[in-house]
Amino acid sequence: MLLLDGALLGSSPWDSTVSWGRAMFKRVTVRNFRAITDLSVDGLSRVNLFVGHNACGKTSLLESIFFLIGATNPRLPVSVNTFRGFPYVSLALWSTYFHNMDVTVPVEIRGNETDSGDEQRLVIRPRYEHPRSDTEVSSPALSGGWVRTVSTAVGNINGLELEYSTSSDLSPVVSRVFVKGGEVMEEGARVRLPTGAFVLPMEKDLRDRFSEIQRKKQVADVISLLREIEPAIADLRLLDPPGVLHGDVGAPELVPVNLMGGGMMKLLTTGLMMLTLQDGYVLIDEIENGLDYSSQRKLWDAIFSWSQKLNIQVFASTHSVECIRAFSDRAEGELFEVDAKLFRIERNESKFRAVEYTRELLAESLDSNWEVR
Amino acid sequence: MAGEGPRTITKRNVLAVEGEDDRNFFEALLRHMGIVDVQIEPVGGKDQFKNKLPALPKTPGFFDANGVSFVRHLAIVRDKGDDHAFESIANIVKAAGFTPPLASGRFSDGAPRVGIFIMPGQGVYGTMLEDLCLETVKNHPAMDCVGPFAECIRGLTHPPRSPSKAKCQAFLAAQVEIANAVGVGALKGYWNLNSPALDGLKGFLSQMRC
Repeated sequence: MLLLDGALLGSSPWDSTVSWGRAMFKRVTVRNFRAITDLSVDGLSRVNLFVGHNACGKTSLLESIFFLIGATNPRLPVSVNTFRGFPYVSLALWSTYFHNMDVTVPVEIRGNETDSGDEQRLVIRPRYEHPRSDTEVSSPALSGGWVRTVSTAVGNINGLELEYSTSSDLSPVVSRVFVKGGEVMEEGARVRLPTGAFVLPMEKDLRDRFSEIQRKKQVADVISLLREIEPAIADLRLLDPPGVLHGDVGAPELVPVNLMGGGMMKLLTTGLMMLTLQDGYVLIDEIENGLDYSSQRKLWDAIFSWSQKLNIQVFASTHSVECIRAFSDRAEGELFEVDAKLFRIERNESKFRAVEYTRELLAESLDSNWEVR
Repeated sequence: MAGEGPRTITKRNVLAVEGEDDRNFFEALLRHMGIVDVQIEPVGGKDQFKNKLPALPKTPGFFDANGVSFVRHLAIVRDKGDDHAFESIANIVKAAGFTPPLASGRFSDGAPRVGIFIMPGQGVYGTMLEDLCLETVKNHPAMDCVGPFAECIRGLTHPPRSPSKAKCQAFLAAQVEIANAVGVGALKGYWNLNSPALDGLKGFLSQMRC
């Protein structure tokens, strides 16, 4: 998982904390970010599932929402790119955020909130500096990586500048990430609430999350969820050292949870994240990975229930029609009215469009065997 | 359609009909008319138009990424039944964000142009597709057998709810190779698709040529 509160990213202390309260996003607009030229998604709900063809911009949309949530954390783009497979910080990093790698056109991400209508705006621009040398160095944010500055006609791009503002407070918060003295540095970063996180199975994060769950006495909730997949699980323990989560499934010894299958890990990481992100945002790319149909239904049950109970807005993506059916079935099957929508992201060369399905329309389309992806 | 993958919109004209057998009937009629660029989509019964019509335009291919309708005509055919069929469909069309036509048998302007046809059409007695089909074969020799059958069942203590459907079944049963539904009968060529009774419906469907 990637956290916005600095738990994973923080090599530098945050210099201040600013809280803007908590409201769900109703509308998100993305311009000039990666493949996306201009895309608006309106009518967002509590649980949002993005679908569409390969390279339609689903993951970029999730990333852009993530950046907006963590708009005052300049290190976030660097860390996100590591999960895109960039092993080092270079021109291939700084320009990848911009559409067509054209750094002269800034990235713009806007989000409108449900209740207040307040608009949040993040603009990402390149940061230029005249370097003394063109060098590669290890990046503290990226294991095994290097940092390299790159010359351009207008100067040297060696970082990004993030400008964040809201319609209720026009004075922008400007933060930067850049290379200096061979290290990735940041300035102007602020902790901002609410927080959000990407679901990614990372051992250290699993430990941190579980510790928090233990403190909050919510281990039983997690075990209850995991029993949907492994009925025999009776307990979860963090064995220290080295801090690996183990489960009691009735065997003579506790078993590491990462040996219990992909479905188990997916439920565990998602469950731990949601239970520790009250009033926040959760993003899950390719949510179906590692889960069979039955497990997908259980995961959606948990997401619908916890998102409402814990006031979390969820953004997920999938390619799988099976996963969409599970999403639809469970949204329709809940006793409470689930605030859930599916959005298909359509792309035709440089044109983008989001097609909104309420859960009722989705159920009707699936019933008629009409494609929704 | 069982076993097929999910469908997208691939044709410039979309015809929404009540059920699978209506699909068969219109497939036969459109083929007879030489109209090929029509995608027929059954909604699962006349009560399903309110649920399915708003979902249909969401299907990939209906609009392009610019939000421009790929579909030129969206035609809707429904039995008259016993309610205000035209007004009901027109309201559903409006709620789905489209412009309904002013009357049955016509298309509206716009993108897509939306047309509504209420069966069996003007000048044909009855309330459903079956009435129209029977009208096309009113001079067929087999109808000499159907007439007495209809008379006979009328006298039953519990007569069929739909005499027209019963008569259709009787007519189809009188063919060399029996067909179990009117649409299947159309595919087998049992209804007279050259009958003037179909002029109204054909005129409606012909508007999808332009």
